[in-house]
Amino acid sequence: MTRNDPSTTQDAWLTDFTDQILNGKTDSLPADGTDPETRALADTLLRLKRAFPEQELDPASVKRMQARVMERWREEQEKSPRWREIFRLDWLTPSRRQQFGMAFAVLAIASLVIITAPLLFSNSGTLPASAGSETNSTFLWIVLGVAAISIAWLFRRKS
Amino acid sequence: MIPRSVVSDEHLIQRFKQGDLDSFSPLYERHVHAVHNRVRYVVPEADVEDVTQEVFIAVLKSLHTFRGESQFSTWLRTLTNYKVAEYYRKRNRKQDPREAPIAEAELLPDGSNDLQLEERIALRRALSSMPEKYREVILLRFSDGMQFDEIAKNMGSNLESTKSLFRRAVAALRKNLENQP
Repeated sequence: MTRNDPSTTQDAWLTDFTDQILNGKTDSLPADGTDPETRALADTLLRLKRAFPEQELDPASVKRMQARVMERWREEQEKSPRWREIFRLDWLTPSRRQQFGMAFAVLAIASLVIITAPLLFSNSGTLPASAGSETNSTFLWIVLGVAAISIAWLFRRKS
Repeated sequence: MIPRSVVSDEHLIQRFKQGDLDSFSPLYERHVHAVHNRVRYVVPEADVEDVTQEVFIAVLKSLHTFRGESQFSTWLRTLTNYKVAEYYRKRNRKQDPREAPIAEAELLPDGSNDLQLEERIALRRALSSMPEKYREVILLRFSDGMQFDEIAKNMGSNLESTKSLFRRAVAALRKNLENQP
């Protein structure tokens, strides 16, 4: 698509017209200057502008709404169970929360390794009927991998 | 002491996270008009204030998750869109969605000839049933007052593509208006 492309020209005409109506430079369709289809779209834009004129909230409404927001928030805070607050870690600063998360993840992985180590590193291959143990070992490695990925995902950075 | 008007959103959020609840007030005062304006384009008149309040309650609840990787206003717009979608989900559960516009029309005073209000109802319905990408580009220009180059930057696109998207969005809006009973 180039600047001489008719559709690009029409796009530009329509956006210029939008700027004009929003800046209050015009409030009606120009007599000519573009094709009927683009004029029809310009008419839709005029309808939108007229239906939603600029409207500022009055200071009293702003204050009243703010009071209701704070009241509702406090009510919800009081209703919220204490254990949920603890698990949301709101009592920690964001940097501490991240450190806490990392420490928890390390502890969880370490616990999992300690619990499953005897099964993972058992010398099962020397026994004649060891096929089942090998399957168990592979399965446990998979479980460990999935657990590690899950923990990393749970404590990933969120914007 | 730094005047409130020059304190950045990020600084206010940081203070809020550290337990200074008063820092929410300037943040609210700074953004309530933008949220209210966006909501009134897509939510019936009678529910605009309620949805705006829901947005700010959600802000209070989730401000601790805001890490400043995007601008606060961008984050707030996403939250507003989420709350508007939630409003329609709840509303559609309560009533037949096909009857919803009628319910809104019933709020008009008896014998009202308020064409602007009727036009707003029609436009809200048309905007609400548009694909999100189209609705967003119209709202960014009309309700948020962004210039097209800012919209392009915000959407991670170039100016020509944004203008083309805007034109397609307006065409979709017109089609939706024409298809209304």
